[in-house]
Amino acid sequence: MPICRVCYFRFILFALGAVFLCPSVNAASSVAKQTKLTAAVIYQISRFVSWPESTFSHQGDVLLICVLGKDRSGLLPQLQHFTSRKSKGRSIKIQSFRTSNELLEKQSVAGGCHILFSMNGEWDQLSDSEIQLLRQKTLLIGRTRDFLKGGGMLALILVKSKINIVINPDALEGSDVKLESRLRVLAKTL
Amino acid sequence: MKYKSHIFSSFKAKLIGLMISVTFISLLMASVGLTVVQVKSFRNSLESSTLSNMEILSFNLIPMLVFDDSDSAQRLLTSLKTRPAVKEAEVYRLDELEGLVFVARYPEGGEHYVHKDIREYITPEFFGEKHYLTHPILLDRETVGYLYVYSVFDELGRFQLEIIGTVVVIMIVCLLLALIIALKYQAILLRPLRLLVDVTEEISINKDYSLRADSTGNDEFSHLALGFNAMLDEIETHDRQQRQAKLDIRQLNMGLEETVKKRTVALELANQNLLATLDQLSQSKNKLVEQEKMASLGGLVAGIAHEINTPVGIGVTAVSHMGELVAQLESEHRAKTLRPQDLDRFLVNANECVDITFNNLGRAADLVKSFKQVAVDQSSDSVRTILMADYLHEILMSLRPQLKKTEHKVELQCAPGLKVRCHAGALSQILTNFIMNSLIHGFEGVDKGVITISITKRDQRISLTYSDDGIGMDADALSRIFDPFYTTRRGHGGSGLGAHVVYNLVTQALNGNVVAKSELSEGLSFEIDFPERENHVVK
Ligand SMILES: Nc1ncnc2c1ncn2[C@@H]1O[C@H](COP(=O)(O)OP(=O)(O)O)[C@@H](O)[C@H]1O
Ligand SMILES: [Mg+2]
Repeated sequence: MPICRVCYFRFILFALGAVFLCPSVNAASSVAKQTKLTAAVIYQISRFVSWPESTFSHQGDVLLICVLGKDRSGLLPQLQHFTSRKSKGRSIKIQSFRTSNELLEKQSVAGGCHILFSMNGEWDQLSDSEIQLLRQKTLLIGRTRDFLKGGGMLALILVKSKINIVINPDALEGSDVKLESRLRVLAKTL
Repeated sequence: MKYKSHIFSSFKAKLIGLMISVTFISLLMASVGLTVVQVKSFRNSLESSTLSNMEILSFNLIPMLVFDDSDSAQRLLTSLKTRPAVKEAEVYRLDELEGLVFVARYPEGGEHYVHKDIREYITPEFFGEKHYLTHPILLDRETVGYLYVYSVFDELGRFQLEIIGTVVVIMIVCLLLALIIALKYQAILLRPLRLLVDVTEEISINKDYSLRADSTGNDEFSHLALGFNAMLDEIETHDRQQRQAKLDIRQLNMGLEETVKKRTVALELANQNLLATLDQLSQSKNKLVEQEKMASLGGLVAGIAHEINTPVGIGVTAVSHMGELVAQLESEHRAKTLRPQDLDRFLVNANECVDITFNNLGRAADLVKSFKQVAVDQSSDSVRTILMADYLHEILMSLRPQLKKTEHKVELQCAPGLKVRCHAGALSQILTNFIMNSLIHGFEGVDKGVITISITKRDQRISLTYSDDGIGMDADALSRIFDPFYTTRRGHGGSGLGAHVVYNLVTQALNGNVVAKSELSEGLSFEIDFPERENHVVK
């Protein structure tokens, strides 16, 4: 039931808000909820982004969401929830790269990522040229403004109880991946 | 003229009214239909433009709902400013737990307005210029919220006004055109009818039935004119016939008057002649009546003379025989040859002669006496008291010469001492006539007839019944017996006045009445009834 899913997402958002209002009460559970929210936002963003058609041709209609770095907050299982759902009619797959080296090694796989979510740490290991290459066909999402400054395209930054979407227009300019304008309207610019 | 103009104006009005109303109705229907269609399509275009706008808005609203960014939604809604028709807009997201959750509204800060569930307007609604629309916001066929918009389309009202104004103007122009055409055309249409009416009018004024209506052409009016002309033909012939008949009647009347005048004159003449004749007739009748009276008197005189002749003759013979006897006695006495037996014989003879003479003279005296009585009574109008039985005998005596020659008998039935005061002469004349008629007519071919006369008196009225047992009369003759000059013996001494004289005497002299009764071969009877005269006139 589609309405249900949205509601579910909304519930998470509000719960997260509550956690941030009183962080000392239950830090652990607030982190878990933040992770859930992040997974949901990543999924929702995928619905307002368009990739070049060529990125789907060889693997059928599958949207590949890759996660870079060690998953300390349990984001992967949260993202895994959304594999049962579709984004723009495409089924969703999750791929994890623990290190930047792994990413570079599995170039064939990494090249097919539609979204690359970067946990803190591993991103800095990538060179500018590597990033340049990556963002050609992949939406690069991070969690900080520094990520954006380091060539990232979109950041989910937690402000108070809400996640703000911040974009790096220059990075987006040079990419074949396009954010829908209606999403851009919501986003803040670096 | 009034009549004509009235007919035409009403007919004209009807024609024009028809054309105008047909035009009006068709125009009205066309314009109403057109207006409705126009307004509807205008509404549809308004609605579809609104819808497409809402779709764009919804499309942009989706991430705002998904990421719960009400500020952005609010900002986005302000873009509706460019659409002045939109008076109100509201965005809701759909939440499983909370249901519809208000997100943003336009104009901002306005009162949160939900007069009913906005989802009812998912099928948009128009209320006049007001338009309500709720647009579901879909993401991958998932309803994530609703956009509700309330618009007021002033242009719809303006459009309607414009259309109605245009329609009214077009209608007025068209109606005016129709009126002009109708006015022009009715004159052409009604021309033949007017001509026909003119003809009828002229006919009714001048009574000239030889006029004819123009029947050229092939429309209904020419048919009407043909029929009218046929009718006129008939009327004309009828009229002519009637005039002729009137003339004939007048002439006939005049002729009739003439004839009547002539006839009247002739009638008057005939009348005068008749009157003169009647005068003459009555004169001669009176004369005849007198003659009859005289004749019966004359007959009486002759009869009486004849009667007297016999006794007087016998008396003369007896006296002359006595003279001879006396002369013989005288001569014997003078010759002294008279013997006593001669004297005795003379005395016997002389006595006999005296007796004979006495008897016969007495009889003659009787006769004269009765004749005198009857004659005097018949010629005079004397009223006197008579001893009826004696008087009847006297009458019979006077008629003896006639009765004596026959074997007929007369029976008198009368109380011996009956005295009656009356016009005796009339009575004698009546009975004489009756008896003479019986002898002449009744006993014709009868040898031994019987006449019965009976007289009775009661309460100063005398009833006399005379009857014979002769041949009688038939009813037709009986009804005419008292008519003057009615007789069956004309040329044989009958005058036809006898019974008439009787009738006059009974009714005038006796002041009574007489009825005759008879049947053929049953005899004839008269019943006379008259009052006795008062005793104050004595002659
Ligand atoms: N006693 C009678 N019996 C039969 N007929 C009679 C008798 N008396 C009169 N008439 C008829 O009546 C007629 C009229 O009589 P009257 O007036 O006396 O006229 P006249 O004796 O001149 O004929 C007679 O002609 C006769 O035919
Ligand atoms: Mg006579």
